[in-house]
Amino acid sequence: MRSLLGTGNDVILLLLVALNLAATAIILAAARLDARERRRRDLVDVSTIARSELTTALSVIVPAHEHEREIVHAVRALLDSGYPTLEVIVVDDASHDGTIDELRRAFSLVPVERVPRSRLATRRVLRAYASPLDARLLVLDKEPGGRADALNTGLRFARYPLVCPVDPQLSLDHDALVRLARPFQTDAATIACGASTRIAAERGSPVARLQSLARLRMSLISRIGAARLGGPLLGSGALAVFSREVVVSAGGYDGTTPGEDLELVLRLHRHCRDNGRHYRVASLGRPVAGSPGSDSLLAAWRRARGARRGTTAALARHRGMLLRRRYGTLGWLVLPAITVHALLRRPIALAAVGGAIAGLALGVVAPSLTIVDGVLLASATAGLSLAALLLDGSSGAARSLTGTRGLRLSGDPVHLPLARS
Amino acid sequence: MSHLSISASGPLAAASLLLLGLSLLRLFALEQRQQRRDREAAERQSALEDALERADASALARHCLQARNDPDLDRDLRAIVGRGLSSQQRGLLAAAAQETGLIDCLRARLASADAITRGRAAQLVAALSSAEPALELEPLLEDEDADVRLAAARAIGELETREADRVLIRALGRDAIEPDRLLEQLARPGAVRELVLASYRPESAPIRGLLAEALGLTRSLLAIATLASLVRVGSDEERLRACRALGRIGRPDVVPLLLEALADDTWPVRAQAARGLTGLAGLSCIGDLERALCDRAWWVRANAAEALRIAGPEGIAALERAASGSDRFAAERAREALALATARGDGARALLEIAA
Repeated sequence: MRSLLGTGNDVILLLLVALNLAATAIILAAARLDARERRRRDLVDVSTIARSELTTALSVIVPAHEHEREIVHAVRALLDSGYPTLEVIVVDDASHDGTIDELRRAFSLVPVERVPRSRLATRRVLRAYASPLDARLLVLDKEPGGRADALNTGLRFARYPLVCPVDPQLSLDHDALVRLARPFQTDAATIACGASTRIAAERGSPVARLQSLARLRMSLISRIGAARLGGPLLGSGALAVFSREVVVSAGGYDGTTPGEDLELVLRLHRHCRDNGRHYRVASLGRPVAGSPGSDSLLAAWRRARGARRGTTAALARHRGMLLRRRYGTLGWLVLPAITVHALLRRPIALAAVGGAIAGLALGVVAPSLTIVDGVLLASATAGLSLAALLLDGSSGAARSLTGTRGLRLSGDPVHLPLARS
Repeated sequence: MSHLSISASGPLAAASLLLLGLSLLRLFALEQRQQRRDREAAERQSALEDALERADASALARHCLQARNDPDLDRDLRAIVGRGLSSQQRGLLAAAAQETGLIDCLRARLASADAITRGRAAQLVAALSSAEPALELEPLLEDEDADVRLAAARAIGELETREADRVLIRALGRDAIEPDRLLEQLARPGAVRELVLASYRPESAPIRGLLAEALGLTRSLLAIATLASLVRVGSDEERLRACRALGRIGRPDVVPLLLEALADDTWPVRAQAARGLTGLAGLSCIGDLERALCDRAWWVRANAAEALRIAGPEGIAALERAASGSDRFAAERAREALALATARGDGARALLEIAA
């Protein structure tokens, strides 16, 4: 037993050293990538796309359920987003509050008939409404079916080649849609483009700020992953624009899996590779939107648990992609890494803490070694957090994390709030 | 079995912590350097603006020399050029670039191994070259780097010369760059002559639809005759794009052509024609649009109803007739358009009440 505990602690120490080395490698890669992106920024032209009549038209799908407080503000912000050709489809998933009434009042909605453009099985649409004040708005009132069903309903009625699902509580940066649509304008093989979101912790609780820091760290890691591995996945809470045709041909969102966003991205990869289609999933380096943080530790824990369950379910659904040559880096490296992270992170952490306590109690592990373990763990996390803050200063995440009087690194972000927090 | 002691694990942990700290320091130093460079570039830019304002040739030459010696120091020049210069200022800057050898240096950088250097050089060569640089930049439209291709297309488009138009039209026939990005650069009245000429060339057959689209984007009346011939004898895609182009031109001269297209055999062409008439429909086309309300394609009926809704009292009267008519499908579209028209009126009244 003593020998086992001792060996376990050795393994943990080595793992923590490896974690620090991995954090070092990520930071160095991030520094290099950031310098390269800054140079390239001079060549990237977003303003032409923002004003061109030829920019690929976009259907924004807003799945709404009990969102009466924020829905009008969210729709107004989307309509004012400045994207050249856009329609906003609000799909109300049988809200019991006044979501539809608020929209009807704000936009003078009138009942209309609309023909679905794609074949996807969804619950029945009860009524469609259009606005005489803005022809770009379509509101669909449907039978209850959940978020995935609402998104599929939006996909059925979307007119344009690109679709962007946007939850009403997101705050989009002013050029978020244009930046997400840019890869589609320059490379016809693009089927999806995603970007991470930051936790909008301004005036938020300490819990929200911690969440924000964690999201920044994940953002940094996925940014490096995307740059090195070609951006094959869109992380949790990502905002993404998809090619409607590809999403529909892959069968749309799957309402039976909790993590429908990740599941869809995995299915798109699978669909394209199985059909021998040349494709590209693009990923933007920086967050383009903010989502509200949780007010309490319990809410944050529930949110994290929901995300974990979603990831696990999506990975389980597509376990057939693991370690298969056909799926390349995705199957050999990315999915195994995510699987280990999602499934084994907590058992390893629990075993480490339990082993350290037992080792201390039995006198197998010196207290100084436990302190070294703690320092190594904290330094890896703190190092990544500091790097994420340094690199993301210009996008405003640092300001939202630290409040108005905190660390402000550079730049002046312009946000387009979709919903009042 | 012996386990790792503090004496063995300590240096290991310390080494990993040291590496982590050093990587953070490096990142911090890079960020600081970048911020310093940003500040310096802003200062240089304002000095350059002053020099241009004062027409100070020696100061301009200093800036050009800096940019010649270090490719990363041309940011101020690109920022100034990107913002647009008067022809006099452009001439001054071009002369300084010529005298200091910057322009030759930029031409050499067009073949650099570094993609970003190539793209940046393309922007400056287009702006500062005294001779026509479109042909020189043409190879970059097929560059291996997508951002360089786009930067080159933009640079050529900004030249606004006939040679530049010809280069862009030639690139339409190749697949190296998304056609829409090239069409954006041709979207100005000055490009209409080359576009019209290209439309009649036999070798332009595969890109004639794209040329029709570009003609619409010029919004020039000179494009109408070419588009008229495409509406009459073009392929499905060409007729569709020609109708969209005519709708974009949006002058009364295009109405007869769109009415002609409203009787096309292909429904997307009819739908596009009805859409093109939105906002143009006068008394002369109310009857045709009323007939289009009974079209067998939903999109033609919907677009015709929309065009009638916008067409004023006569359009509304036509919608009212269709709403109470015997064609169930036409009546549905007409009733919806009338509901939207009425609601819009209500909204306007409500706004007036609030304003009062």
